[in-house]
Amino acid sequence: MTQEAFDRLLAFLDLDRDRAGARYEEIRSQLIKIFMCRGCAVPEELADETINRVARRLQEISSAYEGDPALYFYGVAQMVHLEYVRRKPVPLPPPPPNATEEAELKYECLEKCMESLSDANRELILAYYGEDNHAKIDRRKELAERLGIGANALWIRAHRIRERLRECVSRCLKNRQQ
Amino acid sequence: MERIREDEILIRRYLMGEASQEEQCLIEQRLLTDREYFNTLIKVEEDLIDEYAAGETIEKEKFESHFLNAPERRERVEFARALSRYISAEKIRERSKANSPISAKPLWQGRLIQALSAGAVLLMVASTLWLLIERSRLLARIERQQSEFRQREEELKRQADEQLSRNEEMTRQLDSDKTEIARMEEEIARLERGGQRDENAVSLVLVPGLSRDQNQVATANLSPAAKSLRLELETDGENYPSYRVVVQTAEGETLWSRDSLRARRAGKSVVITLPAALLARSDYLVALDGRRADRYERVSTYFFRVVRKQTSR
Repeated sequence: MTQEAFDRLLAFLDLDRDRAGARYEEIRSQLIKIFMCRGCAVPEELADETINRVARRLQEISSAYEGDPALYFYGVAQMVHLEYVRRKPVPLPPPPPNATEEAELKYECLEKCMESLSDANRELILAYYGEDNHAKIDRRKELAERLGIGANALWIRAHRIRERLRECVSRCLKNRQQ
Repeated sequence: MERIREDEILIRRYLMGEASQEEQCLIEQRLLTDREYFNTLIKVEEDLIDEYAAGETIEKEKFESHFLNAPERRERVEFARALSRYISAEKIRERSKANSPISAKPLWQGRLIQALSAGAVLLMVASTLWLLIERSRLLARIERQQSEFRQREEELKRQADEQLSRNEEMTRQLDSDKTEIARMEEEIARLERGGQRDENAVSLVLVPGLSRDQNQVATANLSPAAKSLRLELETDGENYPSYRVVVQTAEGETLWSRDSLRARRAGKSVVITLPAALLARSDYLVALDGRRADRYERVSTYFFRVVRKQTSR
C-alpha cells in the first residue's frame, strides 16, 4: 500500500488522524478474528488482503459512501473469504496430543513469567482462573465484589494480565530456541 | 444481564461453527461495529479454550476441527494448558502451607524468611568457627606466657641462690678476716707489751729500695737467744686492701711468705715477724705485693742483712 493510499484510508475512517489510526487497528484485529472464527488457517493474511482491496477502491467510493466504514470492510472480507474457500486450502493437521518437550519448556517459561508479576496481579490470575464450572462463576463474582469492580471490568483486567503473560512466555520460548 | 447471557450463548455456537448463515452475518457485522460485543467474543473464546485445556469440552472433535484450525488458537490452547497446570500446582502448595504450623504467607515473605534463616545459620557457623580459632589462639598465648613466667621464676631463683652463696662466702671471708685481724692485733699487742721485756725480739724498719751498699743496708743483729725478727716494711702510701710478703735469700730461694696482710698507720707500713731460726747469716730480699681484685701488684722490694752475734765469754 502506498503512503497516499494509506492516508486516504485513514481519512475514510476518521477525519482525526489519531482516531483514524486507532480505528484502523481495531478493524484489522476484528477482521482477523472473523477470519479465524470462520476456520481460516491464515487469518492475518486474509485481513490484510481485505484492507488492501478497500484501500484500492476508496478513490472510487469514498466520496459517495455513507454508513459505518467498518461494514464496507466486512463486505470486502466476505468476498475475500469466498475466494479463500474456493481455493480449497489444505487444512492444518490436528495438533499432536502431547508435544511434551515444548510443553515443558512453555511451563518453565510460564513459571518464570509468573514470578515477574506483581503479587497483586499474580493473586488475581490465580483467583480468576483457579476454579472450574460453577465454582468459577461464584469465585469471580466474589473477587469482583472484593475489588469493588464489575464482572466485565474484572475480566478485562484478568485478560490483560493473561495476554501479558502469554507474550512473556512467547518471548521466553524464542530466547530459548535461539 | 439476560441479554449478555443470550449473546454469550449465540457467540459460543458461532465459535463452534454451529451458527446459521444469517446469525453469522449478524454476529460478524456487530463484531466490527460494537466494541463491547467484540470483547464478549474474546471472553467466550477464552472460556472455550480453558474448558478444552481442562478436558471439559463436550464436542471435542468439532472443537479441534473448526476452532483449532488457526495456529494462534492452538498456541493459546497450549498456554491455557500450562496455566491450568501452574494453578493446580499452586493449589497443592497452598494446601500444604495451610497444613503446616506457619500459615500461608505471600511468596516474597516466605523467601525472605528462608533467606534470613539461611543467613542466620551461616552467621552462627561463622561465629562458632571464629570463637574456636580465637580460643585456640588465646590458649596458645596463655601457655607461652606461663612458660615465660616459669623461666623467669627459675632465673630469679638461680640469681637469688647465687647471691645467697656470694653472701655466705663474703660472710665467711669477713669472719676469717676478723679472726686474722684479732690474732694479729693480739700479736701486736703481745709484741708491744713484751717488746721491752723480751730481749729475744728484734725489730727492723725497711724502706723501699734495692741497695747493697754496705753502709745503707738495713742489718739485723741476732743473738743466739733471739727468737724472732720483726720487720716493718714502709710503703709509698697507696693502701691496698691486703698484702702479700715473700722473703727470699739472695740466691732466690723462698724462705717465708704470708698473704692477706693488712697495712698499718693508714697504709704506711706492713709488719711481719719472722722466726729467727729461719735466718742464718746472709742477705735477704723482701717482696711486698698489694692485692687489687683478683691479682697482686708489686708494691716494693726491700733488702736486709742478718748478722749472727756470738755469745760473750
